[in-house]
Amino acid sequence: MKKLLLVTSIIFLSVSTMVAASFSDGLSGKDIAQKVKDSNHSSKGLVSKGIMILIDKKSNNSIKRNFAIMGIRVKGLKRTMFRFTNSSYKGTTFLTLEKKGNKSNVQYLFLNSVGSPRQIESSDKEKAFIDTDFSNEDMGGGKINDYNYTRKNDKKISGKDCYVIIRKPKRSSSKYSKHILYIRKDILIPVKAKSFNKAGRVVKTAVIKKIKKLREGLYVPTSTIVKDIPERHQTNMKITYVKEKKVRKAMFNKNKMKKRWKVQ
Amino acid sequence: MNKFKYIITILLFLTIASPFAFAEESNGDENNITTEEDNSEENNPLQIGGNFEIYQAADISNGNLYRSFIKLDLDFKKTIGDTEFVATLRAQNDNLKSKGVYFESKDNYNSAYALDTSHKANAIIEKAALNGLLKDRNSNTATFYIHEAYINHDFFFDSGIEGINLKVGKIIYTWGNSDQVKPVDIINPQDLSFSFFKPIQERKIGVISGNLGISITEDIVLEGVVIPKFTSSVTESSNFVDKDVTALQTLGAQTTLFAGTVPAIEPENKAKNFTYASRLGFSIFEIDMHGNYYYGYDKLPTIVMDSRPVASAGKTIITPEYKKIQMFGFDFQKAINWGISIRGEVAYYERGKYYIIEDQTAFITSMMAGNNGTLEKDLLEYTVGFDDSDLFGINDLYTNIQFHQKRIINYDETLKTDETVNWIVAKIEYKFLRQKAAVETSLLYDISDNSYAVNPEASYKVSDSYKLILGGWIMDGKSDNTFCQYDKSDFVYASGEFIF
Repeated sequence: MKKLLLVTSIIFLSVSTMVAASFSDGLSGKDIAQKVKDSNHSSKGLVSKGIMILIDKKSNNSIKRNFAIMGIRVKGLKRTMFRFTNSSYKGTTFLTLEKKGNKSNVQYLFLNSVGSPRQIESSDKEKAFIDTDFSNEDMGGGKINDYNYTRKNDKKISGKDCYVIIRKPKRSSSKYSKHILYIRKDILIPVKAKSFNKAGRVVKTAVIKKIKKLREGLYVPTSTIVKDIPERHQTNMKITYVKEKKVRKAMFNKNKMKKRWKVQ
Repeated sequence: MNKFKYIITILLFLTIASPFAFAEESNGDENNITTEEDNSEENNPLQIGGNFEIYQAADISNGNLYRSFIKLDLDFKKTIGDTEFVATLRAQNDNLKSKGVYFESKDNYNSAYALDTSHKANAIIEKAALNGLLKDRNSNTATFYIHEAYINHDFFFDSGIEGINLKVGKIIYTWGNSDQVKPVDIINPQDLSFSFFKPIQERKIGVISGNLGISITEDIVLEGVVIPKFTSSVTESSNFVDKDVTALQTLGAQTTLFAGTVPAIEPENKAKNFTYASRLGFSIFEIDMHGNYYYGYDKLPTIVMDSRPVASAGKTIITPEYKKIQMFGFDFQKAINWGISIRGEVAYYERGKYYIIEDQTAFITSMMAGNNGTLEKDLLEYTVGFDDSDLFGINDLYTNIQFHQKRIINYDETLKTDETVNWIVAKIEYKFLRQKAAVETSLLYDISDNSYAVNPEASYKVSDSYKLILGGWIMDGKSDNTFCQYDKSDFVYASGEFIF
């Protein structure tokens, strides 16, 4: 029995070492995902505002909507508030509080018509964020451990070296079979992503067109296009203003969701 | 020559196809990093927005216009440092508004009572009017007023407690976590001129008050509210007068027992009549909870009797009065899984809830003893339920089901009011065309007598700011309960809302 365990361990270690060693930096897919998650955050605070353009290619209609975002990292955990600032969604505010480990993040939704924050169930991270092509996960609901990761050979995107990782959802009920992410090595920003359905077809793509450097180690995507291919619909998210500045951590509280922000 | 043609064709094909084939990898514009400093300071101008709404409701059978309503809200918001200034000005024209008078204090009523020797309601009202003891409610159909306006300041601390929030002005509060039927959400009076057909958040009337919030930690918040001036709910309506108000008139018309009904008697604006409310918010295992407390006046009048004329062989005068109530409440919410969140709130009224004695012998005994013909009883009221954002796994199919109960504690069989009221409050909504269109049905169902009010509605967003709505209200069941008092008034409505 001991012998069997020893042999199994040796085989496991050898395979792991071979996989890691196949890349000179020794990073696995999960390591890269973790690095991405730990990068480009500010414990001081980030405020931004921009425009979301929803384009329906079937009807050639487009909708423009303004938004503002505030984010901060407290004790290694992200807190994000997203708010629509015009249209019928005006005042609609989402607060996402990241929780430690495998605990699900807590999300609140504030609607003017309800008047108080509502804790919302966001376990379906693949669900569309309101009527956009972004998912709940894109808006800060994701967890590293929701996926299994495989690293693929690095690739150049627009002349920049990128890690390529494939992540497969652990949930069998997921509508996706896998996602391929292309992550710029120098700034650890995923600049391109493709999502595949169960039949193996690409059904969703995300491309970051512009990135802004706020300081060394802090980069923010300022132009992102997410396309839902079967629906022929896309959402362009453009950040028109972004700054690292002190944000009160107490603002990331469900009781403050009605309060106006200066950045709006 | 053929070879040449062949090469040209291939080159042309490659020229046309290559941008598509390799676009994602070779587009030079992609993920370019810009480093220019964003020098545009967060311009923080006075933010002006608002909404414009038009609403028409007509009887389903004869087309009579029930409600014609036009409203413009202008919102002004400005933030300076940690201080926020908010004002919503409202201009509206609503045909449901109707005249009403009231006594500003019990002293005013007593003065009018003393001026009249017949001790009949009509004569008392006449004397009161002549001597300026009655006050008109502002009930013009066209009004322009401050709907909500307040200054909100946050003090943040780097150590010790998280912060203190101070808010002063005309404020609309939202307490509790359930929907539409909210036992602990009693701070604001409500405009009931369109009964429950108007959503609770729109029914609320702002109260001039001060609100202090102390965030002890990010999960523990203590709040206190002081309301110096009493404001009653609006019950006058040209079309939808609540059964309890109608019952007052009906009761008063029973001339064998009563000498009529006088207008409602409001509490005096004195420090002893201030309203106080507080709540402690906390979270355990991501369950958000509040313990609530309210000590102040009920916003709806209680029917009590003035038995003084009985002593001189006269008849009882019905005097609607606002009673001081004390409520202890609790509310909670928790998102569990599979798109489901559970919510609930419970209120226990320890004093101030009076119920009229129906039993004639017991009533006369009460009158003869100089009492007011009612019994004070504790009341338990709660709403619990859940909502599911994707019922049966169908995206954008929202369901909300709640159970609501009102229970009179230590019930007395002589009372007119039923011991318990049990309702199901439900809503199912399906959004489609990327949430541009929606169909929904809301239901209020009284389990005790199978009566109901159902509200089917369809809406369509013409643009991101402009929405059209068509719907109707159909009521049926026992004629004297909350829903079916309007069962001869089933109506359809159309409305348009523009947000800017």
